[in-house]
Amino acid sequence: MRSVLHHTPTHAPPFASRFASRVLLAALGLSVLVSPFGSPEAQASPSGWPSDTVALRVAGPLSPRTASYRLKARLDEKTHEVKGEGTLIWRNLERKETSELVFNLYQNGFKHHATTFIREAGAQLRGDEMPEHGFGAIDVTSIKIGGVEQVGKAQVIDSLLKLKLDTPVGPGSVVEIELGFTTKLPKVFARSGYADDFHAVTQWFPKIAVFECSKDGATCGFRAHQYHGFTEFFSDHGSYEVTVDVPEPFVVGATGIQVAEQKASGRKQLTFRADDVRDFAWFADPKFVEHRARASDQLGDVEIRVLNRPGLSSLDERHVNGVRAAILEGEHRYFSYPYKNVTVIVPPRQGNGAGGMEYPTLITSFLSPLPDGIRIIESVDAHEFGHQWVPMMINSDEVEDAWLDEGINQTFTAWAMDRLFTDGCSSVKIANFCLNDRDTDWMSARGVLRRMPLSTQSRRLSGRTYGSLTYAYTSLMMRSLENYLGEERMRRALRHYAERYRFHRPRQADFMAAMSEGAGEDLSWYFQQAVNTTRVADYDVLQIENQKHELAYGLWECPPKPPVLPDHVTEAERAEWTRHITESNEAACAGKPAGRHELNPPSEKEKKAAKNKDKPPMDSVVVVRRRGELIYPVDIVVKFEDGSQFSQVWSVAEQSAQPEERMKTLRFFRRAAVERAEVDPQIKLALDEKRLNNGLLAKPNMRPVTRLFLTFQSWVQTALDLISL
Amino acid sequence: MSERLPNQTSVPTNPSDSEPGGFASLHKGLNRVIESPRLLLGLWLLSLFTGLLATLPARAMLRDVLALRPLAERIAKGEYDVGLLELMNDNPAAMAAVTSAVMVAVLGFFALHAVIAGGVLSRLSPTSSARYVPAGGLLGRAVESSGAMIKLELLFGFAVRTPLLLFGAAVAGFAIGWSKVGELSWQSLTSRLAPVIVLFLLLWSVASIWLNLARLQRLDDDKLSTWQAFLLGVRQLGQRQVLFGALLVAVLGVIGHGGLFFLGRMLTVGLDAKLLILAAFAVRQGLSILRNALSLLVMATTCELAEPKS
Repeated sequence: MRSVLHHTPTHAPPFASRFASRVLLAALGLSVLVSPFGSPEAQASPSGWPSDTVALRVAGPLSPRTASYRLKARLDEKTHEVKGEGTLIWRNLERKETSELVFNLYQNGFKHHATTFIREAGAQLRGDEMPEHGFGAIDVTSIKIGGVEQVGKAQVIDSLLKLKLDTPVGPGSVVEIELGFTTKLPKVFARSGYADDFHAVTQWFPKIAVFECSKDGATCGFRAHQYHGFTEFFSDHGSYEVTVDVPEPFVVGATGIQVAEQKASGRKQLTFRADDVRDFAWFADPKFVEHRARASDQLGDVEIRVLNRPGLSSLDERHVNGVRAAILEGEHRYFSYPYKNVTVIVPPRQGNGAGGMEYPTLITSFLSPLPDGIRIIESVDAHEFGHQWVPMMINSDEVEDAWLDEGINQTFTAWAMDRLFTDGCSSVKIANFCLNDRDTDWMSARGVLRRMPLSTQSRRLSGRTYGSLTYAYTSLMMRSLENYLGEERMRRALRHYAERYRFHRPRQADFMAAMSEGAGEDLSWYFQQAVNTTRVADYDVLQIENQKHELAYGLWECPPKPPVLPDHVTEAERAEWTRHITESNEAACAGKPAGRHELNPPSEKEKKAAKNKDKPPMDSVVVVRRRGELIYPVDIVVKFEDGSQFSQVWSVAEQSAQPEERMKTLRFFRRAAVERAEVDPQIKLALDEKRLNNGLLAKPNMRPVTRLFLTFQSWVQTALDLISL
Repeated sequence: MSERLPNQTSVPTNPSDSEPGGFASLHKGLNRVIESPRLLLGLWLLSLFTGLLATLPARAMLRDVLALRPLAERIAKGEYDVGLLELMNDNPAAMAAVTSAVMVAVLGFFALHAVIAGGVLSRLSPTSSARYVPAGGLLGRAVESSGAMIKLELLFGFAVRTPLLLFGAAVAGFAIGWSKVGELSWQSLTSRLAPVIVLFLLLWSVASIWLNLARLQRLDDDKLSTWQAFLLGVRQLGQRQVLFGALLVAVLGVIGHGGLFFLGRMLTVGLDAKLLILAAFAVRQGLSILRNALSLLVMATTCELAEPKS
């Protein structure tokens, strides 16, 4: 096969190529528009590059539109195959040329039992087993550049296709690639496939990988990952025009908005347009039941289209509510959702493996036969919709930095759910049992020992560790940060990150730096511990001791000298302490000549008399401990029996000064004994692995114990009463 | 059935003779319960102390883990439910001990009830009945009939309860369609299952009445085999008046216990949240007494229904 590269470098564009590009772009109906919403690259887009607002609520382009596709796809509903063809326009926006192109063929992850995906995931994902004989694959039948077939030179390695180019694509150049492919869908598994008539057509076309250079420009290459067991997808933004050809009864939900429909011979062709998106997915099923609603934010309305299962229309509003909450929360935390619409797909039971997934302007929810009080539908929808920002617009790489995507979005989900459910029970509210998303994240995160830092590449984690660490731990890490910064500073910091990196490709270090900038404070002390180490967070109150201050005895010099006070006595307590000791000493010396005297311990009678006369001061000790290694500023609150209270912050500086000293001892000399001591009573450190130990009482309080015990006893007794029937 | 049943005097040969009817039996049964306060007290105390005994390990665990923790108060007031999960998660050995103790107590209590059933039924029988025993004779009769009662309990477990459970599961499956269980919303799932659950509870109650009828047969004639008592019980249940009465008390039992359950929840939620421990305990024990009274009423009515009619 001849290898001829046809590309259009901007500095020396061959006329024919440039003409071809313009024709294609004109066909896409694109023109340059610079949006205040857009990124610097977008504003720097070369003249003539696709730009449109047909699917946007703001002027585009919003992104550099590095990879734009115009595709046609025909679904064979009997064989569950999709035949596709079309054109990819790819721009090299980096500073160096590339002599190869790399494509992701994600469907090849399901090709056989030895793919990277199957080996890592173990033919299951999130509890769903891969169905027998459910393999899928994508066969690239044609790759033409400048009309010349290149497919023979392509090398397919698992889920990647590499194509050596005869002529490199230079910096700023544009290349048009004509693609032909057949995608055999698997039986629904891991976000994709078919179940009866339901078709989840995702990751269905050869998707060009991300070409980038290091920050210093020294090294360049494609950041192309095999399809890994626990992580999802990564690609550049672009414009899409996709025409899908399906049997007429099929209802289709897809990325973007529908711009055309034609019907002929029992089939229909629907054309969808999407701009500034990084993927295109579509779903087809004759059984979809449509429900439409709207959400309003500062940019106007967003159309919400729910494609639900028959008989489940009572759940439509729950889906809509989840999305609405996320739209508003996204605007509050990041920036306004710029697209005109969103589609929510509810897969059938057999297709649940395709549920709980995000694509640009389209999310998949899932069927739940659970009571409304288990608010999982809203939670899943808010979560998946939250992904419209991370990573759909703030384009992080889930394989490299999974927590930037799933973890930040898990935090977002909790915020959105708090917005939706103001009763504080955003996760579960059944009878009187109440859990919020932070509670469920905490239970999930603490269930897994922290043996790998959050910064670990997700492919090096096991399934359970991946979920708990990437999602739940990150959420708690972010919540702890929010509690440290305060809600408004946290919001400013995250918004700063979002605005800086929308339609860019941030890495972990970028996130940490942007958050510090946005918060106006260097947060590396926190991120270094919480992200890059396996330090465990756990503070407790180890000890409370109350001792009455005894009257003087032993060898005393009379008349008494002024007392020498220990260093730990606070100014507030100094006067009280001095007064009491002086009084005590003077009383002991009363009537005695000057000189040394041995005084006997006070008798019980004397003690009683002293007690009745004046309540003796208590010499109290509280020991607070940092059981874990993670250092965080914690409040220490000590309450006394007379109702008074002492508060202090155990600061990061103090803890860091002697990090191996894990205990802080507080001494008090007051007229009242310590009743309780608590460290971090408001649980600001959401990462704290054990919370019950955050406080200690000086004396046992059996009231709550009895209440809980008797309730449990009554459950058992009720069961006994009933089994005697 | 090849086995010939003995001619039982307690089985009316003519259904039209079965007077009084279900309501009258219920009324008489109620009187019997009212006349047996010590029996009611005894059964209530039995469940109370068995419950306390069974949950002592739970108390020990709660005391050890929570008594010195300020968060315990928020947990007890229902303000911090995730604390309960932390407690259970971090104390697996104690949780296992608690579960085991409850299981043992439940099984023991079940066996004990089977043992004393003969005594209780005799005590609740009409004073004119040959099987009637005064309060002092209850335990003696219980010990005397314990072997037969346990055999009957086991036979019912295998021959009636287990098939009934399987039947209930099958009907539930049919109602929702096994293959569609994941495709229904909670509302449609519950609306389809609710009639099945109510039907199942009624059948379960009727089965208990059948068991009591069989027990009464066995108490009346200690020469009867377990199997014969079982069959005579069902034969008696087949009498129109008896069946009507059984259904009546079964409905009463299901509604009564359901009502007490919801009443209990309604009354105790606020008390628990305010840590009004004694008040909540009193309410719960009052409800336990009512539950035991309801169970005794069902048994006493069954005794009335089983009486030969003249």
